[in-house]
Amino acid sequence: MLLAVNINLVAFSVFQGNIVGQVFAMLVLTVAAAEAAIGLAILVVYFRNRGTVEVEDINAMKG
Amino acid sequence: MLLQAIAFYVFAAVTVGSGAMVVVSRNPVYSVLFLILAFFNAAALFLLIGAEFIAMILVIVYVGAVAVLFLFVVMMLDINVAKIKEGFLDYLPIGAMIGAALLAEILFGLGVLGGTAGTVSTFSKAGTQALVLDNTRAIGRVLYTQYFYLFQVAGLVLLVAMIGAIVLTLRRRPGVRRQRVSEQLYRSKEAAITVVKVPTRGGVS
Amino acid sequence: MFTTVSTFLTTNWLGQAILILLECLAVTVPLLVAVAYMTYVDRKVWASIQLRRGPNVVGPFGLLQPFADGLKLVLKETIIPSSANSVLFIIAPMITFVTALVAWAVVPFNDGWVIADINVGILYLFAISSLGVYGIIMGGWASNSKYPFLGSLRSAAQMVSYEVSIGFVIITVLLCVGSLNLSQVVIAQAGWFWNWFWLPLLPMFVIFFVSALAETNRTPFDLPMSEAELVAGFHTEYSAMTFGLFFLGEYANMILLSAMGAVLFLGGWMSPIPYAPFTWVPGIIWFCLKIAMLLFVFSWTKGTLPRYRYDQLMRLGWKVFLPVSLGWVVLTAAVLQFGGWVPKH
Repeated sequence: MLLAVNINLVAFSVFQGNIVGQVFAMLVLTVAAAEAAIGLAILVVYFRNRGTVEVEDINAMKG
Repeated sequence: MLLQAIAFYVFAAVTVGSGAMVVVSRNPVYSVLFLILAFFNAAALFLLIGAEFIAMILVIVYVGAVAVLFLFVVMMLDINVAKIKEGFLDYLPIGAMIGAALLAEILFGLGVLGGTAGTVSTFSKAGTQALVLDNTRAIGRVLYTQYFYLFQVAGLVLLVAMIGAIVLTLRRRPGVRRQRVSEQLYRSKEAAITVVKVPTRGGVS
Repeated sequence: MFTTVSTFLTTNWLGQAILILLECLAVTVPLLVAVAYMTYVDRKVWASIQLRRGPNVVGPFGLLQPFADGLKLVLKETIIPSSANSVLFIIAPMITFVTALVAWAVVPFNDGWVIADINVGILYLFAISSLGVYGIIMGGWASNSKYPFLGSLRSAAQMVSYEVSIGFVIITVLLCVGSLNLSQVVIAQAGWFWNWFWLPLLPMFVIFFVSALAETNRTPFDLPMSEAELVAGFHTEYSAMTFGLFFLGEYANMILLSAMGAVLFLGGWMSPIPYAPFTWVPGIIWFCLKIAMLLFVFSWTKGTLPRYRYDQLMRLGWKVFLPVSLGWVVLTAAVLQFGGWVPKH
């Protein structure tokens, strides 16, 4: 999805002759990378604690 | 020009197709591989419209690093996504609605659905002249001057992500023997061995 | 006759396509011959280190040995394990091989001798060399067997780790050049051989070379295919030409990284002494000599050094190379800024 956003940003940036779109595309890239790192870390920790990553089983927060 | 048009349609078709396959395929490893294909083709599209720096950064960061991590974790954890996909059809209408809304917004911005074309560009004229330079230099000129604080914030985001990932996954396991290079280097001959004069037929205890 | 051919090749779109194809062939065919003889030279060097003779039976001095090996690989049967994922199993070696070849499009062999003289040449090289890891990961996973899988996991972690320091090395060179174009990088190093970047950036050259060893999975970092623990690592299940493609890709990658080292640090096509008898030698000869020198060091390390343990490998990558290269980037930037040597463009 962020890729789609990036494609839009870059395409509009080129056709409107405005470089800011490409700068934003780079920032989006940064955020996506950070997000991937954190997401995978959470996944690994979860797997380590529960031994499974089935989404159906994520119910530890239920009362 | 014709060649460019053909290239554009091929890359765009592969991007969209592999994007769909990411969602549809039952094996998570296939999903990630199709995701990589999508990234790669998007980079090719960027190259076609002349955003060469972003294209290369996309390949280096996404394909070269982020996707490798994804693949690494997905392969190791052996996730069963087929089960996750069960609710796919339930969410389809909502997803389609959001997609349609976004498409409408783009068309509106382009002036297809009323409004005037080019209104989007009026809110910021920051980098308009910069496109005359080559792409990399142009991005640098804007990024390090006008958007410098944003650039710093991006760095902070990465720092926080890095610290977060380390804190989350670090665990101390007792009983793990670690290599201490400095200790190994500082070990002297005297500390390590003793030379003993062994008497014949006597041996040492 | 000659003029009609040249106008056809430069103006007509079909002619241009043919011209591009010819250019690609002119790079690829010598490259593949070089890969073939690299295997021969490699074996000869190890043989000399171990006081053996090396290949010496097929042809004079064993010079036809690479072709005999190639023929053997082509003629053998390709075995696809029944439990393997056959599509990915076949695609993986192709990816390794193709990524090793397409990167050559931006390497400048001489002044103006380059297929695609693009503005982001270095980034392209870096991006393509980071793609090579997919062939290995996919091959290891698709084999559906534990040793190849362990090999591919090791390889993924190793390549990602060492790419980071290669990235910083590239940034340092970029700071000194002020352009991402590889021809500009070479031109910026004009002059005597001590003006090339290897001397001013000596620590970065060392880091680059060691990281190149790790990127190509060569000893002392050949953990993804270490024979003693993982049979043959990620290509345990591969046979015949599928194995052959991995093998060719690996050697082509080695030559590519040597070429990258020659362009970034050893002045590309420049002659070491910028005066008469040396400048008569064509630039491509100097370039090939520099690549050959780096490749000899590749073989030399393989014959000399023992393999690293995995935790040692990671320690070297993250705790030594990363801080040193990061510090050197800052230092270089500071020296350029306050010394007033920032390249003007």
